Formats: sequence, C-alpha cells, structure tokens
Amino acid sequence: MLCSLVSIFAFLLLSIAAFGLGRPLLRYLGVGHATDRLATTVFSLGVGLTVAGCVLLGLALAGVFFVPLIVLLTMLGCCWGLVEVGNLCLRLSENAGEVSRKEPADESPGRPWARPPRWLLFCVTAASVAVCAASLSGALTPPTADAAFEGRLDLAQRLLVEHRTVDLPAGSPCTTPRVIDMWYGWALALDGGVCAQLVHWGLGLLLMLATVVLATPLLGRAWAWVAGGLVVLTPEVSRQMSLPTESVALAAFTTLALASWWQAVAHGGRWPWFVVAGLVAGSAMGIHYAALLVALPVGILWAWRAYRRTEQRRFLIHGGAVAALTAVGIGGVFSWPPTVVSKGVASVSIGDPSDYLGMVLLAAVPGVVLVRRLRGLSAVLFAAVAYISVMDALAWDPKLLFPAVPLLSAAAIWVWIELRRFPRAARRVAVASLAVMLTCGLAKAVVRPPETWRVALGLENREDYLSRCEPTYPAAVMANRLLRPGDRILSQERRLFYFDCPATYENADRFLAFERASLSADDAIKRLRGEGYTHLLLAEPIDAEGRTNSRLSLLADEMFTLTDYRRRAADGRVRRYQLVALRSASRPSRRPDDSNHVGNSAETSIRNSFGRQSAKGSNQPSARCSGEIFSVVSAG
Amino acid sequence: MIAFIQPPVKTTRPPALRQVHRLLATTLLPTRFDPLSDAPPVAGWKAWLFAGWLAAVALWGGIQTVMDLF
Repeated sequence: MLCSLVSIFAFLLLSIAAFGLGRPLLRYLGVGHATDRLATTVFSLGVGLTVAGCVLLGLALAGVFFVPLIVLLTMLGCCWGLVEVGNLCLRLSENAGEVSRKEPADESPGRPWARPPRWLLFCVTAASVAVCAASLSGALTPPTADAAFEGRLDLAQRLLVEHRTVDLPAGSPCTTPRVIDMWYGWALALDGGVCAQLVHWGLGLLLMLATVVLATPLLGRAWAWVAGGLVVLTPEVSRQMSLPTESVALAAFTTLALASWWQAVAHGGRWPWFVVAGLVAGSAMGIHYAALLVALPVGILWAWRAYRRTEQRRFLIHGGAVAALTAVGIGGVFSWPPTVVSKGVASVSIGDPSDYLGMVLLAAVPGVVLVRRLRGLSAVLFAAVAYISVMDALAWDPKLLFPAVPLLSAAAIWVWIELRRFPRAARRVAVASLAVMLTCGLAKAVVRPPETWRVALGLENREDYLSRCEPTYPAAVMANRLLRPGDRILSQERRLFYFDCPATYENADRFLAFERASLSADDAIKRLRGEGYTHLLLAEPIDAEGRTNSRLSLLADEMFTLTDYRRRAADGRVRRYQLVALRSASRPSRRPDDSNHVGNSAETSIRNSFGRQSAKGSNQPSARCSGEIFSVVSAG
Repeated sequence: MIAFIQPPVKTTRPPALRQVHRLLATTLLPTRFDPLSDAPPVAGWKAWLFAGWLAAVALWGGIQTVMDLF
C-alpha cells in the first residue's frame, strides 16, 4: 500500500508542477477565467504539460536527461504550482463572495431546458467514480508485457537510461521520441512505471474535464458534467486509462484544442485563445499523427465560418494562422524527423465499435435527426462523423477513435435532454433502455482481474506480481544486479522496460542472418563484442517437444549463461529466456569445474539478493550491484 | 382607529440552513416555470421509433455483455 501511495504522491507532484507551468502562461496571454475554476485548471494543465514536454525534450536533445535535474526542476515547478493554486483559491473565494451577494448560483439561467434530474446526476457520478476507481487499480499495478507492448514506455525508459534521445531500430513500434514519451520519462524519473501509468490515468480525468469544458457552452454546466461522465463510462476508454499508451492522451488534447478553438471562434473570443488552441493542438500532434485527421474537419468548419461571417473574416483568418503556426511548431518539434505513420498495434478495422465509442453514444446519436437543432451541435457532429469515417477508411487502430467520443457524448446528451418532449410511455422506454446500456458499459469497465486489486491495495508485493506475470522480469533483475556500467545488451525480446542498463532490441531478421552465418561461438562473440555488446538476451520459442534447437540456442549454450528459464510470453507461446555473457564458457584459461562453480555461486548469490530485494518492495529492480556479486562474476 | 402595524422581523438564517431549505423546496415543490411548455412535443411515431431502436440496442448490448462477462 505504501508503494501505491508513493506513486500517487509522485503523480500529484507532477500534476502540480504542470499546473504551475501552465497557469502563468495563461495569465500572460490574458485568457485565464476569473470565475470558472474548472476551465482554468483544465487549460492550465494542458498548456503546462505542453511546456513541460518541450523542456524535457530540450534536456533529452542536450544529453542531460538526468534524474536529479528532472527532480530539481519538478520541485521548482511544484513550488510555483502551489503558489498558483493558493492564488487561484484566494481569487475564487473573493469572486464567490461577490457573486453570492448579487445572485444565487445558477450556471445557465437562460437555457430553455431544465437541469438534469438529481437521480441522473447521482447515478452518473457514482458510475464514473466506480469506473475511475477500477481504472486506478489497474494503473497502480506495475506495467507488464501487454501494457509495454505499445513501446512508448520502453522508449521513455531508454531516454532515462541513455540520458539522451536514442535512435531505435526500424523494427520497433516507436522510433522517434514524442511528447507522451517525455511525460512518461518524467514519471519514470520521479517514481517508476506505475507513476507513468498514473499519468495516463490522469490524462483520462483530463479528458473528462475537457469534455465538460467543451460541452458547457452547448448544454450548460450541469448537463456537461453528464456528458463528461459518459466519456469515462466508455469501456475501452476506462481500460486504456490504466495502460501507458497514447490513445486517451490524444483524445484529451484534441478535446482541449476543440474547446479552446470553440472559445475563440464560436463565441467571438479574443485571439489569445487561438494561441492556446495551437499549443494544445501541437501537443496532440506530438502525441500521434491522428490529430491531423481531427484538424481536417475543424479546418473546414473554420473556413466555412470565415466565408459566412464577413465581419469576423479578418479576425478568423489571422487567428487561424496563429493557431496553425503554433500547432505546427510544437507538433513539428516532436515529429521530426518524420517517420512512417504508426497505425498502432492492432491495425484492423473496427470490430465492436460499442467498446470504443460507447454503446449509449452510438445508440443515442441517431436521435439528433428527430429532435430540434441545437446551435453549434452540427459543427461538433460534423467533426466527429468526419473523423470516424476517415479513421474507418484508413483502418487504423480503433483506440485512435477516442477523440470522437467527447463530441458524440455532447450530441447524445442533447438527445437525452430532448427526451422530455417525448410521450410519457415512449420516454420511459427510452430512458430505461439508456439505463440498461449504461449498466452494461459500467459492468464491462469495472470488472478487473482480482490480482490488480490485490497489488493496488498492497495485498501482493509488486515484485511477486512481476515475477509471475512479466516474462522478462527475472532476466532484468539478474542484469540489473550483475551488469557493470558500460555493459550493453543485444536483445531478441522487444520488452526491455525493466532493464536499467543500455539494451538494444534487434528484430528477428538480424538474428536470422546471424544464424545463417553459421559462425562458431568464438566468432559470434568476437563479432558482437566488436559492435559494443557485452551480453545477449535470447527469447527463443520452444517447440512442441519442449526444445529449442535453433542455432542461436546452441551458440548460447556454449557461452557463459547468467540465467536460463522458460515463461509464457505475451503472444501465448512458451519461450526460453537466456541472458548470456559474450564470453566462452569453455576458455582454456579456466577449468571447467571453476566455471560450474562460479555459475552456481553467482546464481545462489543472485537468488539470495533477489529475495532480499523482494522483501524491500522497491518499485523497479535496482541497478546497484553488490560488490560480492561483482567479484564472483569477474572471477568467471 | 388605525392600529400601528409592527413591521415584519427579518429572521437571520445561517447560509447553510438557507441552502438546506432551498434544496428541500426544489426537491419537493413543483417547478414554477416549465421550460418545455412552448416546445412542441415530438410526434408519437417518431418517439416510438427511436424508443424501439434504443430498446433493441439495449437488448443486444445486454446479451453481449452477459456473454462477455460469464
């Protein structure tokens, strides 16, 4: 439980530091809301995370991505953030006193529809809290193979290990560092993989709040909260909030960009809102290229409005140019050099869209053709439908559909409001059906494996969980204890998150070529040593008879093996994991008995130290190696 | 003879109590202003068409969820 609390504390530090970075910038631009605490917080966090990503990228490019420096900067930002939070609370209490003397709190006095009934607000709030708690339990569980498969967390870990931007091989799912990698690297520097998952969980909350801010001008604040609740009740959104991926972050920043664009365009706001829109849109582009597909329909809407409103045309054109330049500048920093667009892991067409877009939203949105038109809703719906159509045509990862969820949610809530104009019996049938759909979504989102609750609540040690669930973890513990500074691993396994030493993943082609070369063990060792590698991590699949007969395995058998075990990998296949040192196990200068003795004693020492480390309950395997183990391996 | 009428005494209720009274009133008393009074009702066939669609989706979703979870 203490580990979970420490991770949550680190996440809070990071959030306050982001707020401390964003709030002064908003105030400088003159777009801080004096009375709307929610909008101020949401836009401050969005802008602050963008600025933090740029600063961290600068550190990585300069080769000074060091933990102490990042912690120092975080502390400075956190102190400033606390000052800003206090300042904001003070101003709000003063404004609240003035407002309460003038009129009772009523957020939407002019809206021609009633506020949501209390039971609806209560049910949606309770369901949202339950879903967020379930996803929080998943986020507090250390990342395993499934979570790290996307590659973002691996890349952030490489940044932290190498202290600079790294060029990953072409076979990797992520090749260039993006803004989300910077945030994950920030979280890894403060705490570890769990904090990185909490960052994505927090971005899910930011998505909900951004939806509220986006929907408030359309529906009023009370109904906007219902719209925000529906977003987190989408099953796949809540599931992804627990994983260190990029989908929810993309949705949060595109929604923020749309909300600030709305402030600038739809309500005749001031041009600084275009700068805010450009900043958060640049972050969205820096998270994934799919943000460009959201910008496409928004650009069409902007052009249409500029064409129709002649009195605003000059303002809109200038503001649009500012927003586009800012977005391209920020997004270009994180997208350079341009690479092949990643479609995500599951590049398939949408199988069950209700999991990704929400059953309630998909069922309710067609009702807009039956109800009255709401001013501004057609633009929102156009952007959503255009984005979904393009994504479906491109057959990208369905998780990248999340930016459309807040837009559909606003439309669905308008249909829900209009249900009051239905005949009583039809209204009751419709509301009951929507309640059933919400319950189905809630059930899918809340149900989690029991081990995630056990680990989140501290009933099971994180190391025990990882030893059981993460196939590379035992090898990582071994490597982190034995390898010296300057050692480098060439790995056949993609997931290298728990390795604290420099490690390079090479795809299967390289190893296949290595096999076909028919080198002897000594020649292979010389060749790899010449390339700067000192260790080899093999993850060979085992055949039906339980053997690995590949040339690589035979070569590895002739080398000095540090660890050798079998685990079921994420793809369901049983693999043999071998961590071998690139030196021959049968050197003439060493007696065979010595090698066996050394190997056994090293294994025993490592096993003992691993047990001690598990008892400590640290978050990640430590990189510190005891002198005893070093001396044993050096003797070998 | 006209008697002097004592002006009403304003009771000073604390803000929390006033908030509770307001909450009770909005919960128990009917709404004075019906915002939908001037809005035309949706035609019956349209309303039932949409309600039927929602009911069908809810039925399908319920079956799918039960099959997924159990």
